[in-house]
Amino acid sequence: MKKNKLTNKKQTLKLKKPFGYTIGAAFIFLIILLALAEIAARSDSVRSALPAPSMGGAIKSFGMKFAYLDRLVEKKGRVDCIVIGSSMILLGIDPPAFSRAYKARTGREMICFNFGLGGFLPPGTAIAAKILVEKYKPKLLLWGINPISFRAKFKQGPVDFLEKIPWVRYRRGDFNFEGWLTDLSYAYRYFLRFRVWSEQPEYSRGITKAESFISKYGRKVKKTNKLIPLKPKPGKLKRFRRNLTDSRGAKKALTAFKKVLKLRSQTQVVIFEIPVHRSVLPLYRDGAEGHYRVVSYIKKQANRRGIMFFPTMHLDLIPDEGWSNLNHMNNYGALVFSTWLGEQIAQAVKKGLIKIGID
Amino acid sequence: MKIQSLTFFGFTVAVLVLYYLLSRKKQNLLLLTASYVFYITISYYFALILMAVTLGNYFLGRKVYAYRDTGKKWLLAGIGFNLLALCFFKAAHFFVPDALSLLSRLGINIQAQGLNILLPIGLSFYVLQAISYLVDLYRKQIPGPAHFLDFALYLAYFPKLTAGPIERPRTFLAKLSRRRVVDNKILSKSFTLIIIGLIRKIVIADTLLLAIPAKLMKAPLELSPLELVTWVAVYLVGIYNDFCGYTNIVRGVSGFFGIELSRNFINPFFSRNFTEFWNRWHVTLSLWLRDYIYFPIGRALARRSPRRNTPANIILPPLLTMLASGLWHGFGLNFIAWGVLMGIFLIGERLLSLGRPLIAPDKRPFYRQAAAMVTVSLLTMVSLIVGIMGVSGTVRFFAGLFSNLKWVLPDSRVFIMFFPSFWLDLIQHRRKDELFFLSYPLIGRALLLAFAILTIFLFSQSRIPAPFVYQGF
Repeated sequence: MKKNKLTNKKQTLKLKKPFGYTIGAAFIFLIILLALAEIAARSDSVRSALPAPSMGGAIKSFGMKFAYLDRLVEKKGRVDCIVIGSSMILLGIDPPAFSRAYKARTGREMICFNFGLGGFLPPGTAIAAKILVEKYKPKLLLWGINPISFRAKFKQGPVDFLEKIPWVRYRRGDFNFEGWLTDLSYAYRYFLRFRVWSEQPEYSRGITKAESFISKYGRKVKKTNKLIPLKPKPGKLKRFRRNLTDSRGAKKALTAFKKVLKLRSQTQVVIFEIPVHRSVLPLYRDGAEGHYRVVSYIKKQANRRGIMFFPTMHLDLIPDEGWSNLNHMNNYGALVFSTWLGEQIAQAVKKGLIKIGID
Repeated sequence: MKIQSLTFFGFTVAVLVLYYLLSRKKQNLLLLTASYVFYITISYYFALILMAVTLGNYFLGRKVYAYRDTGKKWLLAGIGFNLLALCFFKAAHFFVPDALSLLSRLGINIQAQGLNILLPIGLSFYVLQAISYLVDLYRKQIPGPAHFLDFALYLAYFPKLTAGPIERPRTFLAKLSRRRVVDNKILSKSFTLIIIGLIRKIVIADTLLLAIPAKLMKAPLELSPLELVTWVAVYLVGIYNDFCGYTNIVRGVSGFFGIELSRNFINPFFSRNFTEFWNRWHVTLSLWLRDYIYFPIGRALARRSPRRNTPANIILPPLLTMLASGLWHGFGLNFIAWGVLMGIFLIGERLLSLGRPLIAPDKRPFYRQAAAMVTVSLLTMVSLIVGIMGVSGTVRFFAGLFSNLKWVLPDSRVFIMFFPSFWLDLIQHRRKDELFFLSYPLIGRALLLAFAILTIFLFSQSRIPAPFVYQGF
């Protein structure tokens, strides 16, 4: 009889054929399982039935925004412009209104996505902007900022959280397996969302709630449409004043600001001033002067690099009933402002000041 | 180096490759070197203590063997040496921080740096093994003093060094002196053990333990009774899977070296009485306590009064054994209270059985078996509360349980991880086979393995591996 042993008598390891069939078959099943999971995760029916997947980390709407942006790109075939910034952008830019105004002036379609994120002041925005430009290659990157974003008391955004996200690290050139996998696989992104759901129920509920307000163009849409003129309360103004007098975060914000300006080598960057309620201006230590000084600095820095900047506060664009609070517009304010912005961009394109390739 | 880490995996593979190329004696030397390297990666200070304990016990073992017929002097010296080491480090670990804070409150500030004595990981486990070596030598249960290399490896063998299982010298040393064979069957068994262990540790235990709200320990009164009970159950199931998972992994790893380690958990939640519970939960510790504390006390009492049912015979052996178990877990009032409570449960059980006809638990009607399982599990939860919170904390806990009658249910998703744990235990219990997957057809085995690998991989991402709970002892 033929001996089937692979090893001799004195050896510890005594393997006999057949061996490894289970492991071999398991790997084949594993590949099939992964492929099926990925196909399912990318299918429309699964994606519309499940909440938006996660990109990892503990920033509520971060992964959700990328998921919505991906879906928009898949549906429309491209995204022409991405608007970045903080919650002031998240609430204040209405992409369809912007596109309508742009189309009315130029006759051309402009598909826009609002990538505003709560708490994303210049340092956080700079990180997200680089990823967005490299991943989606928009023709236009619109950044809405306001001098109040350069103040420390408004915190300089969740940068620490952002920098810890494996996917963000991966996109920034620090290769890590998990980041790579997140970038590659939708199924894995859904798994990350499942982990949040199973391990952090409170946080998960917060994400679900946030998602219920997000439109397919990325804007947070307030469900109430009551037009009540904003009458700032003295207490709120006092708190705002306290925030505005702190300049400790200015340096970080300025460094991040310059990083975004550098993106002009990869895309057309345009900066605009996202307005705040007029009662904010006197709250600066040296009154409205303090505000306009920062605005002119932003303008100088942008223009030096050939970047267009649209100041807005002096225009007093938003009526009193267009505000949710001192620094966030409501649906009406967003409609007014986005229409104005769309018209300005269209005009600049027509004049050749902004060069966007024609489809 | 954590047992569930990729570093440990790489380390084990490297040692295995060399191991398979060497002869038996050189294999033991390799394992001893690898064990010390492994321990040094945790702390060289721990390795020095292990070396000192090894040398001390080896010397004492020779003396115990030489003078075993003339008295117990050397045996008592040996036991004393080990208990002293254990007590010194445990006491330092538990009492020094308290003592320093008390002194600081009295205005005496002592630089804590010099007094900051760490409890070496695994000390509690290898000290018990050293004691059993000395006692077994004295009782002539092992033929003679072991070769130094074998003895050092018995204490230091890296798969069991940090948290057991607590092996007996007569079986372990015999394995070291034989040629080891690793065939297909052992390989598949070891591999399966590791996979089950990783599922229990990474997927089930870490998820459950992570979900426990800080309020459970800090402010239990803020939780509703149902939440309190659920979270304690989550903690219990979490700890069980953590330790059981660890044991499975190290048994699997050891299997690759051809050295079988003892089973530590036999589906404890299916116990129908406390005696059975302790034969299923941390089995190697229970058996150690039984053979080296419970039986000797019982025999000593029987010599004084041969009647089996005297109060001393009923009360002292379980009480002192569980008290020793409590102190082994830690030098705190909470652990003492836990030991006393467990002792009381065992005594109660014995008293209830007095004068009743003896019916084996599996011959009882199903409803009685089920009721007994629930009772044992609930009382184990009570003892766990005492063990974690101490007596005053337990009083607060129960005050909360009965005063805060908001019937808020805990989030149902915590039960998701109960299911795989319960399913694994149920099938293992019903089939009386912990590796029941191996009897499945190839397709079933492969599918389960694929699913297990995927789950382990996914759950090990984005999470800093938590240390095994029992390494803390």
